[in-house]
Amino acid sequence: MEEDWRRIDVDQFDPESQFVEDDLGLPSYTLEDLQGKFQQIRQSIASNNIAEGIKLSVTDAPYGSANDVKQSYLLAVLEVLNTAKQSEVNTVISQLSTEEVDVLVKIVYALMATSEGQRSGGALLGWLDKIVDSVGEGPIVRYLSDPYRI
Amino acid sequence: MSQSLKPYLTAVRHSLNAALCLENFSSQIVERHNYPEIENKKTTEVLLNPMMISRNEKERVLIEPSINSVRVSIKIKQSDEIESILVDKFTRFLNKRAETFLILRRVPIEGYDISFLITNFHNEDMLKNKLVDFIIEFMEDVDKEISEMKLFLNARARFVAEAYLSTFD
Repeated sequence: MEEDWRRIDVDQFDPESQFVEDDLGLPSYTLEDLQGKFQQIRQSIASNNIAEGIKLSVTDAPYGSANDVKQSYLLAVLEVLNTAKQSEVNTVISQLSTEEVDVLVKIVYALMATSEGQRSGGALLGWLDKIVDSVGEGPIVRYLSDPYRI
Repeated sequence: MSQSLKPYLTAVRHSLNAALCLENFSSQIVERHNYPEIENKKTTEVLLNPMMISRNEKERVLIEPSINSVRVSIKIKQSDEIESILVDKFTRFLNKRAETFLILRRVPIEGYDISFLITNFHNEDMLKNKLVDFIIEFMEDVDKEISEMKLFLNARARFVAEAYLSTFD
């Protein structure tokens, strides 16, 4: 008996445990499935089409996938966010729908929790700032209770 | 105000504004108890997604919202050893007085220098926008304070060293 039995959380074994998280039925992508998308995103960066790159990255994000897949997805999006010039951010945001902006905010928050994202914190904060300026705090509020996490 | 400080502070302000929407919530596990849900984390359905806002690797804020409490943890900039000593002393000074400082958490959570715990009761007693203003102001001032202390410390060290070594002249 190595474990301190006084500290075992017995409530977790309660058969009448009240809360079971919903099964969202999300597809689980692997890295190979996403290669095509990464390719497209990279192409849009190469052709300097930021709006296209952002549109690609906010549609059909890999919510149900393993953590390393999400991580590499985030890094691909980070590249797009980093290449955008501060002056074109506003025009890109104005081309997105409300749902797409929500996903973008989610990605920005997720990126700021990674060490790669922290290194380019200035650019991410710039994006967040511009988003809040143009659409308000709505996306942040929706992020708080969003079950689709990345 | 430097270029990147402003978006950082506005991001924290908006995130706090969104998170500070609290209501009274009695514990679902222990009858007639009322815990800050973010602290005991036993009722997972009332915990919301945490937000980490980082300016760079050394400076970040973690906001963990839940139905009746929000935990705000701040990592203060420490670029060298003197600064980390000063930050440690400064935050310890504050933490010892947490009892009178309503929203201050007595122990910062791991990886951060100082934590605030705002519950719905604080939100009822105090104005929400003032609470947000306070945290933003704290973040602004603490950097200034630390760099000022560092300057004073260096000046004093130089003076002491001169006074001490002048006897060997």
